[in-house]
Amino acid sequence: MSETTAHNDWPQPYRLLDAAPYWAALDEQRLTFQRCADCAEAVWPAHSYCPYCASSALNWAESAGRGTVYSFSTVMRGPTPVWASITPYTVGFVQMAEGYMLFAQIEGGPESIAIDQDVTVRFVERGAQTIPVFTAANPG
Amino acid sequence: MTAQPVAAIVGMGDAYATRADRKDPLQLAVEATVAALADAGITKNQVDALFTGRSPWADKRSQWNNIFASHMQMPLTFTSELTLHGAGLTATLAQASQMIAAGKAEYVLCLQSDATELFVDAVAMGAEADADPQFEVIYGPTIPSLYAQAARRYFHEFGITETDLAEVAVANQRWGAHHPHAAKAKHGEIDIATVLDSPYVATPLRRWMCSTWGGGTGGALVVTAPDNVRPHQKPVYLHGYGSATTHEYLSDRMNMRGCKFADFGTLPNLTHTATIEAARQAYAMAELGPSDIDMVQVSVNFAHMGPIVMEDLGFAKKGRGIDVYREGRTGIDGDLPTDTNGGWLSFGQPGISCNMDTLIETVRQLRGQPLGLAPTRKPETALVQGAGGMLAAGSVLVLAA
Ligand SMILES: [Zn+2]
Repeated sequence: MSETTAHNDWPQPYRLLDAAPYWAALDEQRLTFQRCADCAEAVWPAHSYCPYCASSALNWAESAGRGTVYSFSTVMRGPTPVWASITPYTVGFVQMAEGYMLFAQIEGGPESIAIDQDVTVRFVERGAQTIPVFTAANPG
Repeated sequence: MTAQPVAAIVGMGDAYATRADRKDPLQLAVEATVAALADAGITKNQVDALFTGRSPWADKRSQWNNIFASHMQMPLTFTSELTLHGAGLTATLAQASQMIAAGKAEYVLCLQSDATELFVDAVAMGAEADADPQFEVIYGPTIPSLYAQAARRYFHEFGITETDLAEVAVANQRWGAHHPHAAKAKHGEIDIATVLDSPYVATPLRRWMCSTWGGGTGGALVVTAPDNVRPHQKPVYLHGYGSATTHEYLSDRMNMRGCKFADFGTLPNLTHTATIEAARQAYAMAELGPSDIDMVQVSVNFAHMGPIVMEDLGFAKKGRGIDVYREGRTGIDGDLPTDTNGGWLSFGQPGISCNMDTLIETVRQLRGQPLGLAPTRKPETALVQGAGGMLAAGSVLVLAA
């Protein structure tokens, strides 16, 4: 099993080289993803070669940070003390407007989140890393 | 009319541990193996190959298969851990039969043990082993919350409710309440209100909809060629097998845009599993279909996986798997007795690569030697489904007495 390193008890990402630009952009509060220059598919998670057409022409693009909830679950029992300290919290998949699925925390409890609901990104600092989380999009 | 069997199970051994009677995975594996070899009437020196699933969580050394063989002083021509996640253990019988058919082995030992509850804080380490350490673990998912992604979509797409899922827990507990080693036997039979009154672990899954870690178990099977069976061995024959895997992490599955398995459904989806393809292979090989199966043992770690797997195995249309439970088909008088030791929801899940508990239960039922209840009509054919990972892999066996 690969070990994740912890920073102030928050688990930190197990960084693979393909995703280095993703983590760097997050430090500037920019949410990015890859797009294949050959087949035009949005590619996520980060790859060296497009998993759909095997092209190596993957370019980093900036996401507008908007999407809809595909599924979600509110954790009532945190796995470690740091997570137990913020229960209940919700994790789920966001179907991003650019055409990929991003796993993230979705802010709110089970009554305030619904499948197909619009959500928008905001950034939080967890240990040494800025990470994206999602919150209900402001309807107005 | 079944196809000719491809292998025969001629030895079976099982071992059990509890908090009051602690045994570690190595002890459980040895106890089960000694019993299985005696049952088969062979010595360890006649074993050519050994297959295990993943290393036990309660003893996470890599090459655990080698560690066990060296502990036994049992040189082999081949051994491996098979890790289609948890589905790998079920697939050990397929690998055994292939070695036997190729003339590379006369006897193969398939083995697994674990005792997670007795040695490990599984809640603290749970999702770190099965979630993407780069993009998922940073959000604190638990294994129930990852499986709950599928439950929530299943509710959304097919109109299933928590009350429906309670039916699965009630049905499994009806078996588990009468099994001497079921972790939840002490609670006796339950009703839907019991399930719906239990607290959420990760919405929409409540405690009674989640498997528990159940003590420890070890199981060992001795596999050989069908024509190597001697009369006193109460053989169980392997008629078909299949397996398939689609991903490791849920994020990879959710970004799949196509799947070569014909019946997997349109993507993205969280309501079809690789078990569909594993079952297709196993039925084709056995020349049998769902209507020929008398008994089922499935991997139901969370209640929604019961109906989903029943659908993937062809026992119900997509979205209607709950009917198999609601109509009593999985019960003692049903036409499809299921999880006859209570399954992971009631028997408990001893570890991460733990399908040997269901294989042992299957062999015991087909031999007419159950430890708990026996179905009213003694089963002649049985289907065993193993699953692993976050909806990642499925493995299916068709067995017959
Ligand atoms: Zn491409």
